[in-house]
Amino acid sequence: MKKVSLGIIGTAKNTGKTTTAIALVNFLVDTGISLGLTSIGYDGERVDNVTGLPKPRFFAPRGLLVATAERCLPASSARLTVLHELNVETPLGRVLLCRVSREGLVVLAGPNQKRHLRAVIERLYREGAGLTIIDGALNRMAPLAEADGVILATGAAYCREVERVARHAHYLSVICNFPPKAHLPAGASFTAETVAWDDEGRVVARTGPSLTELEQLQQFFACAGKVKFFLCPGLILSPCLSAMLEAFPSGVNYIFADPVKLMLCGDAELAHNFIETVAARGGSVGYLRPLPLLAVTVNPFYPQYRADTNEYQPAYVNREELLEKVAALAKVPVFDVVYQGAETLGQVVLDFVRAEHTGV
Amino acid sequence: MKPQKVLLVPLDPVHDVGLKMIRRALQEAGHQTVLLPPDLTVEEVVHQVLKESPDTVLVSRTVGYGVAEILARLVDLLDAVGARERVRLAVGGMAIRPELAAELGFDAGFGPGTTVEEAVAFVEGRPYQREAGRQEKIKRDLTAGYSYEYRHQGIKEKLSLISDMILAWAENKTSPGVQRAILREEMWDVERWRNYEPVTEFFNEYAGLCGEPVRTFYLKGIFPPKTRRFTREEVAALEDYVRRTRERMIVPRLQHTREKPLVFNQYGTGCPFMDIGHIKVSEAWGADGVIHFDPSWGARVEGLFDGFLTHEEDGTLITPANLNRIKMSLEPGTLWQVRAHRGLNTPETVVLAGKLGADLTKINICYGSLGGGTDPARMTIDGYWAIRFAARYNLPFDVVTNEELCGVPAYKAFAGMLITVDLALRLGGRPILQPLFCYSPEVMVGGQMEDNYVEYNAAKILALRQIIDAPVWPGAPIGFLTHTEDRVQSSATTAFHACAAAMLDVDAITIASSDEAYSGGPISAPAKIDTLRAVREGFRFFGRLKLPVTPKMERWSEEIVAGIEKVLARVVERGDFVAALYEGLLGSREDGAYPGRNGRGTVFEA
Amino acid sequence: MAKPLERVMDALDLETCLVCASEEEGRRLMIQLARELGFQDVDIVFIQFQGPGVRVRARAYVHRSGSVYGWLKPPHAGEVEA
Repeated sequence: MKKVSLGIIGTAKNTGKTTTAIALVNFLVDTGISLGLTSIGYDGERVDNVTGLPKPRFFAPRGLLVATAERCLPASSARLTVLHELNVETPLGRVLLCRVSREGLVVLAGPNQKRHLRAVIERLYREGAGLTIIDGALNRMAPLAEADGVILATGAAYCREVERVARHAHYLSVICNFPPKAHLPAGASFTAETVAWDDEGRVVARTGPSLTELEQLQQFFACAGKVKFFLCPGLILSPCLSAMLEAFPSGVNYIFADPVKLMLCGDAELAHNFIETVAARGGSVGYLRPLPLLAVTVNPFYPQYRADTNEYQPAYVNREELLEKVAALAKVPVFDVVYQGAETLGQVVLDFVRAEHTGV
Repeated sequence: MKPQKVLLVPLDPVHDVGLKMIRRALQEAGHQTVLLPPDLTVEEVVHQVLKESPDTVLVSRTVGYGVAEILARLVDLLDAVGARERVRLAVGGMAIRPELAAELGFDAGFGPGTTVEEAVAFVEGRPYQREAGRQEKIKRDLTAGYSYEYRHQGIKEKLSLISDMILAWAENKTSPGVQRAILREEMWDVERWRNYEPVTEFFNEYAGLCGEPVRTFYLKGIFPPKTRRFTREEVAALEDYVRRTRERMIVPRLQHTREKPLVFNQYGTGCPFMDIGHIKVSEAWGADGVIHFDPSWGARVEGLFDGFLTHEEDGTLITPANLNRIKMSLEPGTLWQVRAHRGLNTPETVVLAGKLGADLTKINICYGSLGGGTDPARMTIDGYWAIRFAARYNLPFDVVTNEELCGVPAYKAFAGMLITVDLALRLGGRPILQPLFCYSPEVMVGGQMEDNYVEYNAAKILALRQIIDAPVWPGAPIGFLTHTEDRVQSSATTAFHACAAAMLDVDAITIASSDEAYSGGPISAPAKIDTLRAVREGFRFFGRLKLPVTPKMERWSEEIVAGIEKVLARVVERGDFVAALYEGLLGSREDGAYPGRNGRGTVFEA
Repeated sequence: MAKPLERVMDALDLETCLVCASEEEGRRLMIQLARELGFQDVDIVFIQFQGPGVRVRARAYVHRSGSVYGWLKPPHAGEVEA
């Protein structure tokens, strides 16, 4: 049976990634599925590193597999039996793969880069995790390109204007779910380079894997008329995206590595517009490795800074309004797990796991 | 190692001083550095990383709300462009802790107080931060490099005659203290004891050599007042505390650019647990060594107790278990002195200290006799054996001149110190000179410190250096009688004395806490931190500056040397060292010294 | 959650500058202040009166030698010490 990994990505600090992960673990543990858990950041501290406000904490049930750094063990009240030491370093020591042998709180600090996350996921699979949940960190998402699917956590901590939160969720949803899996043009082989082919599969221009400067595109633009297929396997920043939209003809088939590369471009709205415009002009956008967005969770909480006392205090936007507006635009199921519980979200995840298992 | 290429990224609009300091150190270590301008966007930084292909990227940025996301985006973009796996990535700035670095996705985080060396170690892939800090201190032998050659012929000759006298006198004598020490040496096997094997034979004989209340303790199991054994739960909690603390320990150096003086702190709250708490604090705030203080009555009672015991008053009981637990709690680089110097258990304490792995001890016959309350004959025979055991266990020891505090002038006290030193050299020991750095009765009356506290203390050091090439460790603690209950004043005076000592190039100092003059309760942990911090700041301030020699220092040092020689001449003339002690040649009743009574009549022919 | 007072290694000092007319008054005020804050075993470690008032430091011993130390208890579940 195929093993599945699920990442929780956030739009900012305090958007509810950990709360979502905790709710999911609590729900799924009763379904009999074997669970693995790790984080690409640091979870389990009592108060926030920056705001000093309380943070949600992981209470780990017995039997859960966790990958966390050495120095988190003494800080965890759960008893963790170390199964394996991975060759993955963090500022808090090496990542250890452990099984919870007595339930309790766990502090998590896991792999901080994509390559290391892959190694950790593989190890969790080998130890028997049927589903691995990877908690994100802040607004970081690059390592989560290794997951099979993601849940987006967003809310007032990203922006206090509810409409903007909803629009942003919509953009990310389109970026993740609209473009299908793509294939290289017939006869072309994958190289870790940005490449443009003509309609007969001949290379017309190539450059490095990531597009961070407009200059890199000059040679592509010089033969823009011939471009039919365009592959960028690395990062692409928003100025390059908008320049391509202007310079390339209609009908180009764009291939990117995965949705994360577009989400990281710096301007989600622009990436979303790029996808829609290309499609409207008869072209396509696709990914070598799709990363479906399963659901969105929203959090009305935000830390409000008070200059007079130099402190943060908890504040909230209107809960119903946030949920309604995001749900109207997100194109995927939207939840407030604190108020609705995790049951329906858990079902969404279970359906996804089953679909992955059966290859549907 | 291969020179590394390091990209230095000041994401802070203003604060790139730290990075510039690191750049200098990296360049000096042969690495290649590229310092980016401070106003680049995260995207521009990523472009620079792709262009420069560095081995390491060091980012400086103070993290406030919203900033974390910027740093996180930098890490994310580096990962997405494939550079993350090729570079080691660290962030430094206010509020940065390892937990936050983990959250941000960096390989390391450097917060306030990070040294340039730590950043260089990170670049070179050497053990990171805490581990590096822990290994930083290596125990130093205070006596290394000293020849113990005399520079003053007259004093050398007189000391030699006095040592002859003492050796001849001691030849056939012994005391209960000496007998206990020999018993402890021969019958108490530290390995058997560590393995919880019974040492019954030892105890059967030992109890008979003890006085009250120690004998009662062994025969009837009655504890001295305000003393109890620890419970099993308490011991387990202590072990856990030590382990947890050790994991987080960083042991800084106080000396800045100097090699010496090593800085010693005293402990002795009565409770080994509290002592261990205090010791961990001393170590963490930079002390190089710690000194065990036993209760004052420990010098007056024949025999040592046994067991892991806590005591509610000042001074921690010397028992094998207490010493052993304390020793086990020390950081590997911390020097440990167990003082023996003054009472009825002096030689046995040296044996126990030696068997349990102490680094240093403390012995002085004249002080013990004249200011420590021990009968001179008893102190002489016990001191003689203590020195022999110290030599056997290879324990250097200081010879302190605390009789100065009673009012004995420095030259007389020094004559007494040098007698113990010369005897030690004859017996193969490694003595360390311990003149007081104090505002002594002698100078209060004589006016030598009317203008400043520096010149007379300096004169003492210069005088000793004119006499012998030996290590000097002023004490104990430095600044004695200049402290008040005000912690700022107290820390300041300690720091000033420490700096004067450092500028005189002494080998070690013992410092007090800022509670030194407070008599209303035990010394507190924050008071230890106060003076350690003050001393550190003083060392930072003066760096490697030396103290110039003034005409007054020269004059006073010559007077001290002449005074010492005169005192020694009188002892030689008297022809009997022990009698000289009784008769006040090394400190008289008029001076304020009184021959002790403890152990009178307990010296007998072997 | 641990009581913070249990984590005091030995003594807790309170120091300030009190406006008063004499050392005696300053001493009285400081002891009263410490008592009002809930400390019974209080001593004045240092006091210095000058015209405007006293510079004063009071001390309450939380853990004395031989007592049972709160800081020796293991940290509470999940309290991060790293």
